[in-house]
Order: sequence, then structure tokens, then C-alpha cells
Amino acid sequence: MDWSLGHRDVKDRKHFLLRNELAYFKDAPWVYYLAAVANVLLRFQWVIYFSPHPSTPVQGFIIAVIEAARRIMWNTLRVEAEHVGNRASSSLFASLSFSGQS
Amino acid sequence: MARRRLQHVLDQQHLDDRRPVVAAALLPSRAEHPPLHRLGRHVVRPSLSLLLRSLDVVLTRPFRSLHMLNAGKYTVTISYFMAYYSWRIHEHNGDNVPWRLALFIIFATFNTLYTSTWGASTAPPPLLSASSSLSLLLSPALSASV
Repeated sequence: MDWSLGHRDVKDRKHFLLRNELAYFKDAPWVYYLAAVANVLLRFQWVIYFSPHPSTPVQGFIIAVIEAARRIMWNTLRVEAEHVGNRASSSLFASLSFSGQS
Repeated sequence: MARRRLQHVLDQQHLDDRRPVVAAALLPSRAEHPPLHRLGRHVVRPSLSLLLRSLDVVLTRPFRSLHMLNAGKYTVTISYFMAYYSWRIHEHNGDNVPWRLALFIIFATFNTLYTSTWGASTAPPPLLSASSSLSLLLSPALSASV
């Protein structure tokens, strides 16, 4: 997914269905499961349109606020995934020698 | 008749961008204000060439399937908004057609499932951990993007 969760080829996996390297919530990996479920559920925001109760402009405002919050959450976890990926590739490059002395 | 044909040739000539100077010298006023009914193809020309170029890019560069997945996602999102507004506008006008609502539900569900499972094409590959990424980095397809 966009948060590079859901690894399958890691041999000794620390968290079920998660990356081994976590950055933001190292001590609370349940946050990632919660965010993954909430991300899908908040995308079904358009069911609010079928409720008769607030008027249509108010419904549209509520949906816009939900979408903004969801995108903020998505971006935060995406930045973490990019950071972890960059760190993995840069450490891999650092382990190679380009000096020509080998 | 011959004069009209000559006029036609001259009109074609001053719209032909390979010979603009000759046309401007012959018909200065028409060169400044070309007739509107001939403008269509010239307005379309840049966007058409852009479309062909983007199609060429999609068809020739690597990770073609990722671009096609993105294109499908944008298409479904556009369909979702079109279905929503067609439902709302017809409801506002008084003709309440149930199939427009059904179409909106179908497209909204499809759009939600699509965007939940497929996000951005530039997502870091999940194989990019220190244990397994060496073979990926050494493959020519991915080393260009890392």
C-alpha cells in the first residue's frame, strides 16, 4: 500500500503485516492497524449524502472536513514510509565501497 | 470561380505555418484576423499533440502498468463526480430518476475500493529493506528510479 505496510518477504517479522522498521509509533503498533482500517472507512464518507437530516450543504462541509483529516493522516504515514525507505536504501549504499581500493 | 479558388488557396496558405510570411505579405488584414471557422483545428493542434505525446510516453516507458493503473484511478474518480452531479442536478430540477442514484452508488463504491487498494505509483517498493533490496537495486529497471 502507500504506507509500505503489508510486507510478505521479511523472514523474522516483528509485527504482523507491518514493516519491521517503524518510526512514529514504535511502542504502539496498533496505531497502524487503526489507521489502515480508518483510512478505508473514512473513504466511505459519501454515505452521509443519503442521510436526510442535515441539509445538503452541511453534509458537503462535513464530508470535506472528513476528507481533509483523512488526507492529513495519509500524508503523515506516507512521509514515514518514504523516510524508512530512504534510510534503508542509503544504508545499503553506504555499505558498498566506491573508493576503488578493494 | 478561379478567383474564389485563389482566395481559398491564399487562406490555406496564410494558416500554414511553414509559409506565414508570404501570406502576411499578400493578405495583411486576414493574417492578423484569421477566419473563425478555420481556427478549430489550430486550437486543437497543441492539445492533440500533447495527448499523442503522453500516449507515446505511456506506451514506451517502463512501469507501464503503473501508469495505466493511475489512469484508471483518475477515470473512475471523474466518473464518480460526474455521476454525483448528474444525480444532484436532476434531483434539483425535480425529475427524480432512481437510476442516477444507483449509478452514483455504483461509481462511489468502485471509486472507494479502487483508491483504497491502489494509491500512488511512486510508493516505495515494500521490498526495499536491507535484506532483500540488493538484487532489486542491481536490476536495471529499478536502479534508474532509486
